[in-house]
Amino acid sequence: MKRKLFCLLALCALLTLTACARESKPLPACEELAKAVVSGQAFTPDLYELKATKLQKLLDVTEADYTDAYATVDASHATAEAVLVLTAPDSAGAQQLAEKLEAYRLDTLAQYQGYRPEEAPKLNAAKVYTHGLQCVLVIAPDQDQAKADCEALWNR
Amino acid sequence: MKKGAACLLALLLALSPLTGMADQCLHARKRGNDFSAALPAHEPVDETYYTQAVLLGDSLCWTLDTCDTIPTIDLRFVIGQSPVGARGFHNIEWGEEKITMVEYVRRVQPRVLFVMLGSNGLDYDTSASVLRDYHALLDELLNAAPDTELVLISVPPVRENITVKKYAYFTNGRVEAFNTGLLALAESHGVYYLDIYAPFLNAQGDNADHLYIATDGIHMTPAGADLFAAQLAAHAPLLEGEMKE
Repeated sequence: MKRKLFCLLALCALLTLTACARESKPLPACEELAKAVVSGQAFTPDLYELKATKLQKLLDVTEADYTDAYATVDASHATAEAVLVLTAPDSAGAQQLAEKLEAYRLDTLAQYQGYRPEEAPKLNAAKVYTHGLQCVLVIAPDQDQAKADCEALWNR
Repeated sequence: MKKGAACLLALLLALSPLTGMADQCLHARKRGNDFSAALPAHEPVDETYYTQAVLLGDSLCWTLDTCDTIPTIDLRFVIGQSPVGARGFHNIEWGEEKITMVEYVRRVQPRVLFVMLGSNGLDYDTSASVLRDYHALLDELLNAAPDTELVLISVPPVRENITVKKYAYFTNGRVEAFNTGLLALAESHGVYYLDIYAPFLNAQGDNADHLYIATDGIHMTPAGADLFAAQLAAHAPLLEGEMKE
């Protein structure tokens, strides 16, 4: 009985350590992740790196809400294509950023349904991916590829 | 002497309601400028110039906003806005209120007002029809802000090999006809006309490449926004105290 209990405790300790190790794996820089996603897509040629102030206005966040960020969008708005990556200071902040990104997706969807309805499928398929404190929204032609590119960097 | 002045004042007051046309002529005369041609180039104005300026537009201005190309200008653009919409649609935020573009101009009284509209309309209607709507808008803007320097900005060229697939008649021929009419409208109302059509064409050569006009054939790329801003800075009407030798 004692042996079984000891084994169970040891297993728990091992799992905890593994989880800690995964948590402590450093996150990629937002710019690196965004550029990896962009390189895997057949994006519009007019992707433009947003200024920090513009990103803050777009997502209704402040500088204190993230520790790192990188965003690139189709500045001509001929398409809705965009890659927005942010790292939060803590897990509550990450949850909030994920919600902000989803709100951006929904707002953009509402806007493009009247303006350019052919972009709606891309916006419907778009997802917010989170890993630890990092949150990513990709509005892209190939969502599976975008997810794979994010995971490749998160798990390297 | 006082009697003479009073008579003159009474005469002026009596004449003042005489239609917008008289106002427009006065508008043109008081400035003594030549409105028969596009604004000439000068040394570019700096960003402080735009702190006194409003730019009204449609989705063509979206790139300027996203790229923050002219950060100091008061940019008010609405996706899908036409000259009709600028007069009648309550889509500009004013606190909790939504007001029309014309009403916004009336309340702000900017020193300079740039207007870039017309693209929404040319995609499905004739240039003559869009110009009629623009004429009505211009009359309202002049009444709303009689002391404002008004600048009508031409519609830039389209990549018609793309546009005609969606809008059969949205060609550069139609854009050129509209811009010609816009210049005439500016002249008749004594306001300025800024040509960005030719610079976009010249910069693009055959207008077939994608440097300045986006993949939808209509909107500006970031490089196009930079070109637009450069044209604005080099042709903006010089205000009193800023006239250069």
